[in-house]
Amino acid sequence: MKCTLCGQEFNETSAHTACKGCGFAKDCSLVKCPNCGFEDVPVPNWIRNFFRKKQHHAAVQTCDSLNIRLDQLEVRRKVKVTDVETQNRSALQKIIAIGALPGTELFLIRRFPSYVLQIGRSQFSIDRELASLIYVAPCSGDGRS
Amino acid sequence: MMECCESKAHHHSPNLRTIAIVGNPNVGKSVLFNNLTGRYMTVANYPGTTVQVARGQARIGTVDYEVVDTPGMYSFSSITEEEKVARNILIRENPYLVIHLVDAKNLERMLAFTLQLLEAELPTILVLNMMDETRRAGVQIDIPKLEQELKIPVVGTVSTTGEGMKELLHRIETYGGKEHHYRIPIGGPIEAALNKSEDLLNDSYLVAKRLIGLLALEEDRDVLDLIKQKQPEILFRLEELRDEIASHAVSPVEYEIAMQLKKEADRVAGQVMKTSNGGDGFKEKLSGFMMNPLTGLPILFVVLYFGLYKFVGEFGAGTVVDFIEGSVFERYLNPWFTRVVTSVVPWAVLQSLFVGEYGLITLGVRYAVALILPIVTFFFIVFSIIEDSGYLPRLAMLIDRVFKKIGLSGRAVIPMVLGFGCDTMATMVTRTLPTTRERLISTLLLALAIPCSAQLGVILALLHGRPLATFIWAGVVSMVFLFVGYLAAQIIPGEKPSFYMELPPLRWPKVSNVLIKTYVRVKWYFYEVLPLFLLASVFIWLGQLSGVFDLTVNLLKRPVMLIGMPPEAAKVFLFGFFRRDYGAAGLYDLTKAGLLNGTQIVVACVALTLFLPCIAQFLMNVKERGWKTGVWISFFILFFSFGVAFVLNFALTHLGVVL
Ligand SMILES: Nc1nc2c(ncn2[C@@H]2O[C@H](COP(=O)(O)OP(=O)(O)OP(=O)(O)O)[C@@H](O)[C@H]2O)c(=O)[nH]1
Repeated sequence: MKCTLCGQEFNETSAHTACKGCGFAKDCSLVKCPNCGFEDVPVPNWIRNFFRKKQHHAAVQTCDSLNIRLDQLEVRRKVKVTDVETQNRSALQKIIAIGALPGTELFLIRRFPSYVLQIGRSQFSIDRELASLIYVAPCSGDGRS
Repeated sequence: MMECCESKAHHHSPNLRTIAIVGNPNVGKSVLFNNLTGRYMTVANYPGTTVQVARGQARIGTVDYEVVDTPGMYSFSSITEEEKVARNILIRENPYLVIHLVDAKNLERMLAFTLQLLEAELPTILVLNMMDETRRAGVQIDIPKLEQELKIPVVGTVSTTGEGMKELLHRIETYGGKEHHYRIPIGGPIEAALNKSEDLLNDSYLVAKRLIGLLALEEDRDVLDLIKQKQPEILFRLEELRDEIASHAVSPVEYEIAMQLKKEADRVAGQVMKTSNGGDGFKEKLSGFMMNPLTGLPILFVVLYFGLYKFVGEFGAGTVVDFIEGSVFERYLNPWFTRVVTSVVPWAVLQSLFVGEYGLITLGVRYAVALILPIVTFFFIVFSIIEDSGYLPRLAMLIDRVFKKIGLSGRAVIPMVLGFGCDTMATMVTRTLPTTRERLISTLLLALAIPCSAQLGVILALLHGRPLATFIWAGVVSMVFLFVGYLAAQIIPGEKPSFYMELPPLRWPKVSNVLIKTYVRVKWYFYEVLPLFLLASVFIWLGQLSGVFDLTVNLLKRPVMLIGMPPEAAKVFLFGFFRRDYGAAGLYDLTKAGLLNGTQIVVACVALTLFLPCIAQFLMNVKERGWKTGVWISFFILFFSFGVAFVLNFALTHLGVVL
């Protein structure tokens, strides 16, 4: 989401880290901008999903129009990593090791029995749990056309 | 410049300058290492760990160097024990030179670690390996430009053919010390904290303070220990800095760093790399077939059948062992040793320690050399071929989902496959699994349900010509494997396994590579396992002498009869503990003597497969997992294997199955 105060783009799932040290963080529905610290109300999921569907039909596919979790992506698609969930540190280190960082283009080769990704000229296999921590956006001119 | 570095190197390793080869797994480090070192090399555990590190000597120009082949690592933030070892070699051993070996076609991804090495102020040469594959893939790299960008020597090589080796040696010989000053600002609160931590650290570290500070901020245990040794007073200040970062930053430090490194690496790679299309259609297709369960499982079956059953089982464990054991030992060596020992040692008791039925030489050495050595060698030939071709990671990927159910990740497939060669050795390899939980579960399953090649050979011979019996045996053992694994995964606490693995391109295995790998493994195995065999012989000798053996055989008679066996079989089970295959061989004799019917054979085979691991493996379990766990596993297996055999016998006889 975009911070309404400073305009910083950030992912709200990973934004809780900004709330570290706050005693109310647990059942708090506010999202804190990691850049300026402004606390905002996130748009509820169902509303967003509603809009997302609509976009899906209309949009010309560019790399930043919609965010999908990698484990929900169809195979044979070229995508760009947009965000990575960073709470689980040991999982994060594995994602760093394979280089699936924001900005990286990747291609999903298989989903079953495990996920197989092409990153650059290497292939990696990861399980569903790791795949679900990576957010991607399909790129225009992907394999489906 | 030269002088400064010379004195520095002398300062730390008084004898030789160290060259450390670092890089991702599977980029050809071992091949380069072998190219550089030639004859002198040692493989040893890195102090305080169970990770193997190979060191060798190389003469380049007129200077001798010590070359270290470090375990694969992706970055300084390490996950596995192997990566920690590689990292510690870099930050503690003060290498004269670091060779960063990369797979050239993946330069943009691997460059990030080069940058980290430069930031750490380590004297680095970048070697772009696999130039052959890179050219084939249509990737062009402007090496002179890359040298300019990084200000370090860069060499393109094909380590398997020797291309570029001369150039590399020349560059090592004329290396003039580091001239790079790379710094990649991270920005924000992390940069601020990093600067403060650099101010806190003194000059006693062998790499850049920036790197030490960074790892300290990442809460890296090893580096904090290092600081504790040198500057215990600043630890709490570092902790404050960490808290400060945590209160500002969105993501962990290593993530922010990885992002910055990636940006810079992308920039540099963009300047020097050009790609046009290429690719190997056939290998891509084959790779796809291996990973698709529909085609992958039949491929697995073919590999197991020809590789394990035909080559290792029938040829290695059959033909070759018969020859060495039957002719060389039985006919020549044993009688000769017996003569010598009986004439030198006067006491019969002591004689039997060396040359009796279970003597150190006649049993211990004979087993190790005549039986295990050939089987293991043949197994490692197959294993090295499979490994060199890049098949194992695909197998791991194929099997990950099933293994998750039993608390393991696909990575555990490597020790499991090794187990079919020798469980003792496979138990040792469980070290490479990332969590204690996975190590424990795989140790248990190896001990319980994976028959080793020696045992498999005899069991398959027993079951020969009884397809239904073979089917029941294989079915029961597989069920036990999955069932116990599932239970263990439910019971044993700890972090759930997570799976990630690089799938290297499929390659035709190189004969020289396979031979070297086999040689190194056999040698290492032999040194680790031969002592255990000797120890086992001593145990047996003591057991016989003190009468514990007879007592145990008598004790075992009841449970043996309970599972429908003749009492003579008790001895087989006891032997089975001392050598799994020996037990199976005893069973073979019983069958030949006509003492067992079809049902009894199946029940006995199942019981022996599941029964207590051989004593070598028991000792290995204890060594790797500790006394408590080792003994506990053995107790569990003792009762469980008899339990399963009892149920199976009951079911088969009451259903009236005739086998
Ligand atoms: N085509 C090609 N293959 C290479 C080259 N160098 C190494 N290989 C192959 O790459 C594979 C891996 O080589 P290794 O030397 O085992 O790699 P490593 O980096 O030591 O791997 P780990 O021990 O897993 O860290 C082997 O099959 C080699 O034959 C090269 O320059 N060109």
